Amino acid sequence: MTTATAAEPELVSGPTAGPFRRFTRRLVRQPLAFGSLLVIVLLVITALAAPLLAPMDPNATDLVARNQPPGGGHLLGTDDLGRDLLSRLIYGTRITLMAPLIAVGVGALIGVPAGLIAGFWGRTPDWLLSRLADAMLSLPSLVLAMAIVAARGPSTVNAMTAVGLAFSPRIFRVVRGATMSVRHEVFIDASRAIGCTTKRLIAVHVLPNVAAPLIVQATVLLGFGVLAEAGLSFLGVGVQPPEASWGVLLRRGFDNLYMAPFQSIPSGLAITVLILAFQFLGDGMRDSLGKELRRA
Amino acid sequence: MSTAREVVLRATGLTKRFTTRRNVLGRAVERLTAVEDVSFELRAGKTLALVGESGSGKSTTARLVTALEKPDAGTVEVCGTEWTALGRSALRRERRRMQMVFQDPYASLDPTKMVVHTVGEPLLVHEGVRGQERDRRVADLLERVGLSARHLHRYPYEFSGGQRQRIAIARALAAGPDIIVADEAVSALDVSTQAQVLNLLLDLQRDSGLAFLFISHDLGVVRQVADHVAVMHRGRLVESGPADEIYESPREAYTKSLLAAVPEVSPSRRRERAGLVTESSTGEVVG
Repeated sequence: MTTATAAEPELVSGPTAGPFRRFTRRLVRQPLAFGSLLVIVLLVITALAAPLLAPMDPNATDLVARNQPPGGGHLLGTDDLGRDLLSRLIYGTRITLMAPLIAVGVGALIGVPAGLIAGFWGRTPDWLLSRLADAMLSLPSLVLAMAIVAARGPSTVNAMTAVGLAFSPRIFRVVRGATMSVRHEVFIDASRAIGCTTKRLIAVHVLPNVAAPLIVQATVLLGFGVLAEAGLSFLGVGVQPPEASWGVLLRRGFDNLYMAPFQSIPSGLAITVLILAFQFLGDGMRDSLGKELRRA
Repeated sequence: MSTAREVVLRATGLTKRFTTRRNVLGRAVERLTAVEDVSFELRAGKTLALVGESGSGKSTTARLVTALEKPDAGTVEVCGTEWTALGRSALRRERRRMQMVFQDPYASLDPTKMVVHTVGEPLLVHEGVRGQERDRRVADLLERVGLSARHLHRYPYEFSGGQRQRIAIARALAAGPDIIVADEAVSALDVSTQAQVLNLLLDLQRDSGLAFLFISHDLGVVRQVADHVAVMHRGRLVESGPADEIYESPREAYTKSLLAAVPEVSPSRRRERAGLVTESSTGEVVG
């Protein structure tokens, strides 16, 4: 463990401080997690301030200056249509950050309640939801995405909603399994004996106790989301040209790899850093929660 | 008849069966009768001990009484209200009259909750008390069980077993119950902590006239707290009566063998008891 496990008791007086403050205090103390948080905050700022930061119009083509190497007027060079790569990278931050959040958000919105219901009640609801999840897992997610896009038209939101649907059985499984083990804990009976409603039992006692595996799964899926967006955009069902995302840039750079190898490096690095930041932040969040967990 | 002696808890003919095997169609083919036709009464301010070996149905009885399980037959009446006949939300409101303290203090507290939230839960659920008012009342409760306001914002992992059991007792008290069901509440604690927690329970009973349903396999412990003792064996009540009577002149062979299993320190008492055990066949002795 990186930090001392509550060696000195905190003598908090006054009104009850929220558990959230404790959580953030611990999170900030972990260098890797805090660094990742900073990276993500910086990227969010970049996305919001893109028009101010970008040196040029990301969609302005200049067919005379195609595939320019870095340097000169273009810090990261130009692509095969002569567009400024730095500007496209900066504007691309918007979709690249939004896309995995949509996917994981949709996945969690479906997977978490379903997992809680299946895990808590077991029996018939569990059987039904688990079979449904198995069926969804057996569908290739790309095919699912194409079907949704075919029905609703190509757009980033539609494509990522489809990816979220494909994520939901994974989240469901993690939440279901964790819920099943928490459901039989004595403290659940204790709270029921106090007179808690089932709703309160699930929301206040089960959910926080399944948070750790859920957070880890969610951050892994955020990383997958970044890649899924790139893949779907490449197939033309996600981001629509001339809009840019890091995935689009990477794919486009890949096409020109022999002519202009430098093109794929910045976006590739950026994606790597982003995925790593998601992972480290997730681990840090889990550890910040984990301090309260009972040690057997 | 004084009000202090009214019956606060009455169990009548409680029976519970568990399905242990099902056939391919999901129909039960094998059942285990955990509790059969168990009846008892608990009066205000008194302690009834339910004793028996593990697997005798004590804990199932506790779960039936506290409505954590539904009995297959029989009724539970708490302070004149028949719990077994109540609807869900009515039962939830009534639950504050009878609270429970569990065996394992490491498992009975939600590890993600600070003490103030654990102990304050009954206050929130039944009275809607929150914020500083809640903090103040939880601090009072903690002081009643021998902890202090400085423990408000700690998590369960920061406490020892005995302290956790005190927290669990504070939580039970928070609801303002008439009855506390203690299911092996001191069995998981070491002996000196056991004595402290038992004394705490006795003090609370003296101060606020609580009735205890005390479930234990440990007759040594039961002796210290119980007014009445009911002995369970294989899901049935085999003998019940005032504690002194049961300890001094047990009628059933099973009760005798159970008593014989209590470790005795004093040599004179050991000799005394040797005479007692000889009558019961050794084959019946339960460990």
